[in-house]
Amino acid sequence: MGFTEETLEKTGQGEPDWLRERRRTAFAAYERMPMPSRTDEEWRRTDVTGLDPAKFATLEHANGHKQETPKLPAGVIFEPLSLAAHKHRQLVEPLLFSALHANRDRFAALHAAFFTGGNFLYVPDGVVIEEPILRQHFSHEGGTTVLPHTVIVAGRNSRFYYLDEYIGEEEEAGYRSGSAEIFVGEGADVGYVSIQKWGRHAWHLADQRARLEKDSRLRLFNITLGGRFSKTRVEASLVGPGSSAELKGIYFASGEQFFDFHTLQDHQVGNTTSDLLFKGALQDTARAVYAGLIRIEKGAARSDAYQANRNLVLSEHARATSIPMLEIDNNDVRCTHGATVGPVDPMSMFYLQSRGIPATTAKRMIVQGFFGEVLERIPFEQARTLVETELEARLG
Amino acid sequence: MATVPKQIEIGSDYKEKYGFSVPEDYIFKAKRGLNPEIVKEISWMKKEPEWMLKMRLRSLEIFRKKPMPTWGADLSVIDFENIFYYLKASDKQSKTWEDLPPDIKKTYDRLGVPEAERKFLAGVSAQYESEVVYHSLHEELSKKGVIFTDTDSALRDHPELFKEYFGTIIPPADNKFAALNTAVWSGGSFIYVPKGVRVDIPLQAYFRINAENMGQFERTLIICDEGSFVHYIEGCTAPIYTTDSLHSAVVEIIVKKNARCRYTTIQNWSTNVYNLVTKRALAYADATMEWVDGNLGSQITMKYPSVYLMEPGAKGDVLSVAFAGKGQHQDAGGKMIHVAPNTTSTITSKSISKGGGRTSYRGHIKMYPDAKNSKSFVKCDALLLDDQSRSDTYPYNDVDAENVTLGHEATVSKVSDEQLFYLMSRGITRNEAETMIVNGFIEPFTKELPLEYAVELNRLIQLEMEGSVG
Amino acid sequence: MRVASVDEVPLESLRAVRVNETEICLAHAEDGNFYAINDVCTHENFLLSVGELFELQVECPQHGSRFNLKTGAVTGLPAVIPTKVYPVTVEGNDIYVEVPD
Repeated sequence: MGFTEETLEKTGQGEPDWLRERRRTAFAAYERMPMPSRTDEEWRRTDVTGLDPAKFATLEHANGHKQETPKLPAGVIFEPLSLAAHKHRQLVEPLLFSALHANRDRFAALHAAFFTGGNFLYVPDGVVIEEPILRQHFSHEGGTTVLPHTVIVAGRNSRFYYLDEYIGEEEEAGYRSGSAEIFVGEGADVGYVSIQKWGRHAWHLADQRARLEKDSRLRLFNITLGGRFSKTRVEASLVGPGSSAELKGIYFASGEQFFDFHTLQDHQVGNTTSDLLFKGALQDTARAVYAGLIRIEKGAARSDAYQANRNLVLSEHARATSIPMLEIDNNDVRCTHGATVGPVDPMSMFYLQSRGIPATTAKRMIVQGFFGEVLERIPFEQARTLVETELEARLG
Repeated sequence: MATVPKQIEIGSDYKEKYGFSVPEDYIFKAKRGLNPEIVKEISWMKKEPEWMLKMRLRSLEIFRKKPMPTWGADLSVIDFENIFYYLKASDKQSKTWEDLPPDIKKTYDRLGVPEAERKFLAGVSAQYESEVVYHSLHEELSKKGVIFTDTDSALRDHPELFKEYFGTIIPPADNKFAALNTAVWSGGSFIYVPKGVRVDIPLQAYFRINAENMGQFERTLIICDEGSFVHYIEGCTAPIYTTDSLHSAVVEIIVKKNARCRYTTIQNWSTNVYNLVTKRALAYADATMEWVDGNLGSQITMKYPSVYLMEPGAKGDVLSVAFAGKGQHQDAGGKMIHVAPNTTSTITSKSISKGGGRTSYRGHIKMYPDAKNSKSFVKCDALLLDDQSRSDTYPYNDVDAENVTLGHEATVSKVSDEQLFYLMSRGITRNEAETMIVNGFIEPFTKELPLEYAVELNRLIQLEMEGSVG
Repeated sequence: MRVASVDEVPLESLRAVRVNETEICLAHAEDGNFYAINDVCTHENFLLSVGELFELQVECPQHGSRFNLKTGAVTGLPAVIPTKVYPVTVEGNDIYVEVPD
């Protein structure tokens, strides 16, 4: 059967016309665009020949889950996107899918056409929310599609934390995304954490993209643990001077999991800072592909960018690809990047074992230590604890 | 009275030193453009065996079919129909410089090649346009069985050795320009170093383009038998023209067990030359292959010397230096393909961009599943001397093997204010200080060159001297 | 498993066939015999069956890697990893290829 216009119209039922029209445009793009092929540079090492999204054309509506939300200060809007599209059109319309574009590829188009669930958060100028906002997205059955979309708008000098947690326990394949657009206003300070724990047979394709205005700060943490196949693009555009983005990633892949990360640190103006570190551990026959780019535009003088990808290979048959790239068009910059792929350090193992610690425990301690420098940077405790617990459970 | 450097300028005296041309007085000049007739003509002139003609014609077809690369430098400006694919300047190969046609002799004298030969080379090959016009090799080396000849002669004189290796390391279908080279190749060096023989003094090939819109397509094959050693150096220059020339070489190297090969390039084409070269070496058990690759000239260079580490203990090194001035794009780097266990590789890249020039490092480290316990380390540093220039880094790292260590590090920066400040606080002028920093930056490269070449390179990367300052 | 009939694969030609999930390049070589070799080039995953035959070798159209049809060994770079070969039997007009589990 596949995705049809009928499904599309049903998905957009009750939504304002402008949004329904956008869904139709995105659906046309989905129908028009081919699947990426292995000759496309971005997909050379990322094989989607086994994926036919049409096989999962039943949409799971993940709207319903009631989440405990802290009491929010006056003026804060936190609502399902479809509702916010009605009530706050002037806020939602110009921003929704302005950072992420439906015509980027077939999967982005599918997401933009059929997204359901997901939230719109608007924090007005000067508002500070101490308690983090936590959001869970569930999938309940195999064979379905779940496409939550988050839009976060941080007003001038606002400050808050947000967590998107994607949870699925089903044992069958399905199609999943979980994308976010984050608009960080002048002087704002946003902490965003996403934890992807879809079922181990899911196909996951998602985009997270942030836009940073003058003197703003974003700390974005991407934790990827679930899915049989997971491809996430994490991108930050620094469009205001003085803005600073910290992009951190943790991934732990085991069994036959395949993870792909594409990152972009896009310094459009000068006096901007970005700091990226993606660390992953790979077990069994798991495979990870990291490709990241630092781009410094011509006028972006006095930019400072750092990018690193570290892979810890825990087994004989795990595989890792790392492609850290730089495109530097201004000389008054400081850019450094690095990539490593390597096994557990035998000296550390030896040291721990000589203290009477069994090999499996020693290995686990080393992996925990490896993730430590990212874990401790997670900007709020609930998320840090959650990630630590998840990692411990997976390390066994 | 002291002189002070004004600004850093590579090749500021290129025009006078290398950029001259002499009149064309040729034995044979093919018509412009590329077609099967030209290919047949080249093969006929060389009296080649049938299999080579067939291979050339098939390669031409492959060249036609393959799309232009969609990555790297912009090659859309190359007009393949405006190029002369074969030019023969002399009717024979000379064994003495005096024997050469006067204009050609004058050219090499001016470039200082005969002098270099007398001083520190064990053998010299001089290619002028399409053919090698001069050739020499120390007698003691030929007595030891060393073969150093031009590739056309090798096809005639050593047909079996030739056919065993030619095109097996870089097949015509490898890429569009390997196909082009295989279709119209002419000249280049063929080297065989027998078991256990060490060639302690370098062999050098000197490539010269003289004519306008010339295409030079030399083909080089080097075989280092077990336990042998050779250091081969190539240099290249051309006159400055307002229209484009094309240089597209293929270099295949086999380094057998315990042997070592060092291949040094000082590429100094004039800035109207497109330089699109494929270089690949196979290193067997405990063998070492070293590419020392300096790219200073040309308008566009795309070149990524590679080493396939085929057996345990093989070692590969690439040391790459690129300079891009106004209008230049150096897209260079290296590839290390680890096939066997316990193999090691390093790539060190240093690039300098100035005056709107662009340098790109492009590299690939691949560790196949059998390459257990292997190590690879890549370090790239780029220096941007002004705000018009650009630098890119594209390192591809694929690890499919257990217990391997792979590291990549890169930095891009301008000349550091701290260093400048430190030097200037010691009474050194800003420009002198910048020069010292640049020289220090590329020192890992210059120190690997034979002394005479290091001196030559320092001269190339010289400062435009201003008059005395009182 | 039957993959093709003899008439479908003329002398000195290649044909893509499938046995369950396995993509196979079926070759009718100049020696008159049929050979089956894994169709996916071990270099960069392009299909050999759209390549060319040279005596008992198949050449990948993308980068020119060559494989021996009898053994799967690499006979020309840039591939370095040998590929799999599968037993072929011809009964009458039918060609069978056996892919072990």
